[in-house]
Amino acid sequence: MWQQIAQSLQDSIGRVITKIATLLPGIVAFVLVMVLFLAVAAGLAWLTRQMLAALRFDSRFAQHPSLAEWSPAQSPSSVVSQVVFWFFVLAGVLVGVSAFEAGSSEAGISAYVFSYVPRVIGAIILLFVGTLIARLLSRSVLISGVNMNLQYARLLGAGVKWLVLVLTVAMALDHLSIGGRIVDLAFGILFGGIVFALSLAVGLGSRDLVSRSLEREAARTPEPVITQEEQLHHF
Amino acid sequence: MATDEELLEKAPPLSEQLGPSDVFVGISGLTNAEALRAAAETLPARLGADLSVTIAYPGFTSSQPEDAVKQSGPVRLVSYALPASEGSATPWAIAAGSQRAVLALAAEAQAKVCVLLHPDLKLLTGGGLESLAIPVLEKKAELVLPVYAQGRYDNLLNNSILAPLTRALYGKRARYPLASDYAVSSRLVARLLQSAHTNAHVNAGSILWPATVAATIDAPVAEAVTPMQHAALTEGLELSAVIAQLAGSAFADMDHNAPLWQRVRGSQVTLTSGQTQSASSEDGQLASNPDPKHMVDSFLLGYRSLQEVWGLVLPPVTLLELKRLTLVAPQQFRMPDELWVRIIYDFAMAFRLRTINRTHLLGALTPLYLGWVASYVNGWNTASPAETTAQRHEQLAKAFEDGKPYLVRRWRWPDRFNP
Repeated sequence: MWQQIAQSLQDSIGRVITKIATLLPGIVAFVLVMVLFLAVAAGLAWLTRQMLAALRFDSRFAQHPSLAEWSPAQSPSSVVSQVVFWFFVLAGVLVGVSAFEAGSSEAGISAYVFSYVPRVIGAIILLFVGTLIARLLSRSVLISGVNMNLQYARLLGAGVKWLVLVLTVAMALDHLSIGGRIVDLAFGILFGGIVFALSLAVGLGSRDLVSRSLEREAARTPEPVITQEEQLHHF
Repeated sequence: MATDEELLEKAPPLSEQLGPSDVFVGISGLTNAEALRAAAETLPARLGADLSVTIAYPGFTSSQPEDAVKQSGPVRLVSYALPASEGSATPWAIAAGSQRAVLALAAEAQAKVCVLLHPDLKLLTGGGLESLAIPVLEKKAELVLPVYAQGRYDNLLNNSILAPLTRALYGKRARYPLASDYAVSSRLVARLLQSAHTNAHVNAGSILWPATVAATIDAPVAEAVTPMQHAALTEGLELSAVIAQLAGSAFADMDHNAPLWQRVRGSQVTLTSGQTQSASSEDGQLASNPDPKHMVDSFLLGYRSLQEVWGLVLPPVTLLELKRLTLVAPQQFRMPDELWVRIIYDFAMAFRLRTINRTHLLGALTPLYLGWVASYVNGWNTASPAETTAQRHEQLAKAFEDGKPYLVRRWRWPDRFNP
């Protein structure tokens, strides 16, 4: 009995060691490929930065109004060099996965990863554009609100920002097929909840304000007062 | 049969239709036919009978027969088509489009002097036209700008940003750099057209800045006091939109002419004809000063809400001074001129560097401007009775000039640490 247990344990340990031994070349191949591609990516990013600096890319970009309106916090040449870097890192991951598959006996991994890559790229683009739009809209609402003398302008700006971000994340997750219907459902509940809460806040919270405003209008008597606007001429 | 294009090619140029003109008067908008006819009849006597005068007008405010105008005396009258403008265009952009059309006609007519007039014709009927045209005809100046009658609280945007900024940058003491009426020489007509052509490539709704263009060729500038005011054309416009349009255009012009104004030091005294007159609201004739409270409230709201935006544009020391301002009572609210000057220069820098979206940047200037207005109003409460509006504006203009080294330093080395 004990001999049989010991034998089966030895067999299983042997299988594990064999499995590790068969995986090791693939892992080594993956790591080597990644190191190689990281070095290439860093080198090419540096080269791109130098070339763009020589071409005065940043100042040329700034001269183009429609492009520069969308400029991020970093300089345009820095953004381009980062795109080059991450492109090669991503290429390294794909080649590394293929090398891993070739170096080990595991089949079908690279096919699965390759089929998923377009979705990841799509989700990254969605997140990037969504963040950009959220920031732009939030700032627009905030500044317009302040110029309209709305005391809750900051709240409005933050609200718009988070609504767009929540929408973006839900879209990205949906694009990645993560979470399935739960994401749709959660987003619907969250978005609907926010809109419903705002409706309630305006409907119930501002009821007194509206009635006071109407009463004031009704009680107002026409009088020849000099208003601020008549006294001050900005232009 | 000849096509329309062939007929156009065969038609003589406008200069041949008109003959050369000594004085070319262009009205930059629809005007009143009767007033135009009456004023046209008196012009030869006012300007000199030996001068040939042409008046270009785009049309009339009411339907009146054009013949009634065309037969009025020795002055030639020609109509021109107003350039198409977008529905969202501001009055300044529309006026600039008309002015460009008039300047092009004046260049074709080889006019010695071109006078651009506001469509209300107050300058033509009120006798101010000669004071604009004669200095150019006598070659005393190449640009003559008007000095309108103004009250203490009139033209605040012009007096707080446009006029002192133009003076500090280009060294030309023009009190109304964005006037609706002005006279220019033939040389300046060509330069204005060239500038308009260049700017049109960059910005479709660009505004003409005659004083700036005069500075680029070092043309002498004069001012003529005109005892009148035009009605503001800003009905239905928001203050922030107007600030964005005017300050944005001034900043864009500044960016375009950076090599020029960095070399300019100080400012030249402008030859002024006539005596400055004030509007009825000057020198304490107002029943009461405006209440600055709501403007201070707007500033405070801006300080509370726009920290994120102002923090990107303004250096820490300016933000600290703004914070100090938030702690005082509305009646004691005073924004020092030096602080206001640095704010304008920092916004101009951010506009140039595109630190944030330009629409957002200019929108974020409005609460600060209202803070300056509140401070200006409060300043009159503590001012000595002898102090005049002109003195107060001179103080601010001097502060803009004194602060120019700060701007030049930041412009040349934008990445240098700025506490």
